[in-house]
Amino acid sequence: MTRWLPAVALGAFLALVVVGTLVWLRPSAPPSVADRAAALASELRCPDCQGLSVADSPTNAAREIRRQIDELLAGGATDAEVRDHFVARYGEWILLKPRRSGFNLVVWGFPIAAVLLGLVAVGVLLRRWTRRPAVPAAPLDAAMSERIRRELEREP
Amino acid sequence: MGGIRWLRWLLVPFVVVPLAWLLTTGFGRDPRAISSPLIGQSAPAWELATLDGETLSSADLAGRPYVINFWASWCAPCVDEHPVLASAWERHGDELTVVGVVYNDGPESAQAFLDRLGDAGYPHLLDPDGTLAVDFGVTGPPETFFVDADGIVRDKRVGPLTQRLLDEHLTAILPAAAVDR
Repeated sequence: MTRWLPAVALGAFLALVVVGTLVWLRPSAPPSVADRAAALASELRCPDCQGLSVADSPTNAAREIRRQIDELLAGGATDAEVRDHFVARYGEWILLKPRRSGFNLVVWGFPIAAVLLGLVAVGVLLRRWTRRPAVPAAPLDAAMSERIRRELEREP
Repeated sequence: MGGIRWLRWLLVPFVVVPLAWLLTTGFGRDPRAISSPLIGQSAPAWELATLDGETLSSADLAGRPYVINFWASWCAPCVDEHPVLASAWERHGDELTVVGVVYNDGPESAQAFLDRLGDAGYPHLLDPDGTLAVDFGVTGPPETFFVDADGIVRDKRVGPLTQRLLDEHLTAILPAAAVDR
């Protein structure tokens, strides 16, 4: 009986891996219109609040924008078209996340550049702190070693 | 010892220059002069009930420049701005229309505001759902748009208008001679 245990355990493990992979690779269903509307609302800035998305705000304008999102999606608009609809009215300001193009790339790139710069600085500092002394101790000349020997002999 | 000293020079391009640039451009700009993507575009079309119980639409104003002002009775700067808009209506009523839009406010409190400050007689649209405010990309009152005779948005002001500011913006939709009158 115990002879079979490893084989059974291995089989169970493999079955789990196969099932897990299948579940993971399973093509996910396309998001429903309600999901898309909720996602878009969370990407848009509520115009009459401070730093809230349309999804999180109870104001009149946020309600109206959510209504327009629903209306546009029901009319067959793509997510990009819905975003453009509001950008055409409010400008890019309405997008909580700046678009990754043009000057906005600076905003996206700056944190990455800062982290890289920090890594370089840490690397340089580590190298400096762990490097061995560049100058080896000067070898004793004959006169000095003779003097040391004499002084040691004189010790009681 | 010169190993990390060169890193110090990176501070100039990566910190000092961006900061200096941000501060010079930031302080050199008028925060009230928020540009709108609508400028140069056709104004959104609208048809809404007015405070007087009538219906007004952008089509009714075709061929005539108009100034559309979003306001509310709870908006303190709108109180100062009210006489400026009233005088624009009195001085330029022949050449343009002034249209108020009651923003995020009820008809009763809006009417009370006009009764208190003096109703100049130009129409005020009711926008209970904020549809027109979203169409114009309004973020808060007072906000004023200047639409020319062809229905193109020519200028926008965020914040209260003074007489001088109003005249400046009116040159976008009226001939200069008419503004000075």
